[in-house]
Amino acid sequence: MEGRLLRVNLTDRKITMEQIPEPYLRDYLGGSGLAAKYLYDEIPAGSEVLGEENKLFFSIGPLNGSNFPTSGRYNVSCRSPLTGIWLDSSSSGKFGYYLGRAGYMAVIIEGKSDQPVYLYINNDSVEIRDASSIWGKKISESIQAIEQECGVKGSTTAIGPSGEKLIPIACLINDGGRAAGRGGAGAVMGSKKLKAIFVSGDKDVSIADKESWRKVTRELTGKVVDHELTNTLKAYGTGVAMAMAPQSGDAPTKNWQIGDWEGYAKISGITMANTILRKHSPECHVCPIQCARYIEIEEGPYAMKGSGPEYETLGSFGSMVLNDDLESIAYMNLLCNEYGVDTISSGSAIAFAMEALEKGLLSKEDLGGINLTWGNIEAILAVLRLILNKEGIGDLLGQGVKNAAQVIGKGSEDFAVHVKGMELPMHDPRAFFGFGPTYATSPRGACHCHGYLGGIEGRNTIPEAGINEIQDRHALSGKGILTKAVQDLSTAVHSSIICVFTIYSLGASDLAQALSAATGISYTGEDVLKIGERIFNLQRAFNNRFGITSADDVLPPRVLTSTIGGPIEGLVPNFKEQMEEYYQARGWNASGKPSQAKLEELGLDFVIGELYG
Amino acid sequence: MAKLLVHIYGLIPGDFKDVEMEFEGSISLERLELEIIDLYGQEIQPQYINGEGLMNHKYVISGDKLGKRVDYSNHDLSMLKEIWFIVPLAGG
Repeated sequence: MEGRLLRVNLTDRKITMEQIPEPYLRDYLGGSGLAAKYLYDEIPAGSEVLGEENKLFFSIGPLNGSNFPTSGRYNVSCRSPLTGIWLDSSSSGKFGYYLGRAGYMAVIIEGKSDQPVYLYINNDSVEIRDASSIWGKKISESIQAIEQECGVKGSTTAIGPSGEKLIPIACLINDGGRAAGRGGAGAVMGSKKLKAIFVSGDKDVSIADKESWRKVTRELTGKVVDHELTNTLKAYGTGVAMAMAPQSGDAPTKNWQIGDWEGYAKISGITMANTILRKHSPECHVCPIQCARYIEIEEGPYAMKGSGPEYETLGSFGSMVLNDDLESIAYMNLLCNEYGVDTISSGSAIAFAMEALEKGLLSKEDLGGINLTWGNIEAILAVLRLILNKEGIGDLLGQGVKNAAQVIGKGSEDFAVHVKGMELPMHDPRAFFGFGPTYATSPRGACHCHGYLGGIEGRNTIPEAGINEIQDRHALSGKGILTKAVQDLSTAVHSSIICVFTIYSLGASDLAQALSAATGISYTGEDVLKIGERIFNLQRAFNNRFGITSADDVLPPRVLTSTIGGPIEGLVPNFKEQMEEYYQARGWNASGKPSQAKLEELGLDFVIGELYG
Repeated sequence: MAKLLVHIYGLIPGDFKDVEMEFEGSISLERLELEIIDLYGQEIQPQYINGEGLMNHKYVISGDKLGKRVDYSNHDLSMLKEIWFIVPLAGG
């Protein structure tokens, strides 16, 4: 088992190649896990988020660069400018595939360039190249220029003008609209004046047991293909969940206030499939699910073609702001993808501002004269443009709702819906109680991917973790234990690194089979969950370093209050009991640190000195 | 003749149905489910049908237009005009 790491220092322009120690690969796999090990070791307490000491860690895992289903993904990690704590963000497409074919498990970017640059990787040829001519350009134009200049088939991940302006919700975009969206890695990239990374390669990927690999890949691909949700996601995309919102209550509406809205169907994946969908997007490498949309709006104010909005974007620019115009949401998605901004955070910030205006905590003058009322599409677009360009009220809203509420004050904190500074994704803890402890404890702040409840709660079991019964989504006990198990599994998935949608069809033992064939190390399903647990706790220790305690493991008051109307009216999670159960399951102490015994059990002894003196 | 718009979402892979069904007399949830399973049972995923040939409400939610749950105590659904059967999805 081996993996190479490319270390690029943009200050002195030094490029070196390192072998990743084998124990790191065995114990942390790759992706988010490998990032946790390196960044825990290399980002010191007291360092500036947008300073030279913050590092960007791009990584794949042992399954990438191959023909394993959904293995085109890559991960980017750093300390987040939005939350000040751990960040990993992953994206699909082909970037991960090409990074594997170039022969690298990881690329670590450190220091800062004084001029705009991009990184060129083509097998062993690695160069820091001038990006002055594309600095300030939108993302699709930048990627086109870079790929034309490079002249070989590959993939590029890039930031847009918003990342260059260091907006804390800036993201990276690759392969025609795939996003490493959350937490502001785009701003860290902008602070280093790194516009993009291009990668190409044609090396064979190392597979330890080729015969087993062929068998396992064939078998597991079949499981993914045959799963009922594969067909559903292929037909309707992730936006299909919006069609279920009138019954599930899962789609946050009017800044998480109400539970019933007539617009859900108008913006659903079914409507998209029947109107503006042109084809399933081919951008994701060997993906049998093909949930990504390629859409076209032929005429009108929102004419466009390209990547279509995901469920999260339909929520943040749709139900959250009471906008039932699908074409306008698609256009807002396009703008975010071109400027490089997270759609969840930007849409949520606009919903927050709408409520602040309605309550008289912001004035129309504060908003530059924009009448930001619920469902006012032109106003939403106008404020979005301010966010993307860091102008007027957009400068404040682009800092995220936590920071905006701290500036506005006057009780606006009560409807700033975030955990640790990260806006909640578009799944309601009142509809699926498991999202309560999931959001409260996710290492990057409120996140549904670090504990992919959607694949398990009310649907699946995790026998390797002793979860043998399908748990009702509104059950009043068991959510802490369930959350821990789902987080451990999801973390292993993000470190392998494949799409979380495989959690619908593949379990921990399936993943273990694939990892065993790829690496030659014999993993069991239990081993996979233990690796996930190790990584999750190391990311927690990283956050403890930057001041996170149990007092930060909370939910915003808005989601501990019932919706007005709708299918989940009257239902709120029993959060205190959930968290007691969760802490016990995790082996964390009352202050929110992993216990010494837990750290020893997980082989994280090197953390004990810092956490316990 | 009573008409009921029936939404069947998430029970059949890749096919979300909105179908208008007509009934003579009153319509109980049990009768409606039997009719639906008679029509679409071959396409509905087996885990969503229970041993009695009805919807498996461990997974399947039935509700009216406003999201209010509909269960077997509702003896006549004809006044609802619309009914939903969904398996909720929290993905994406």
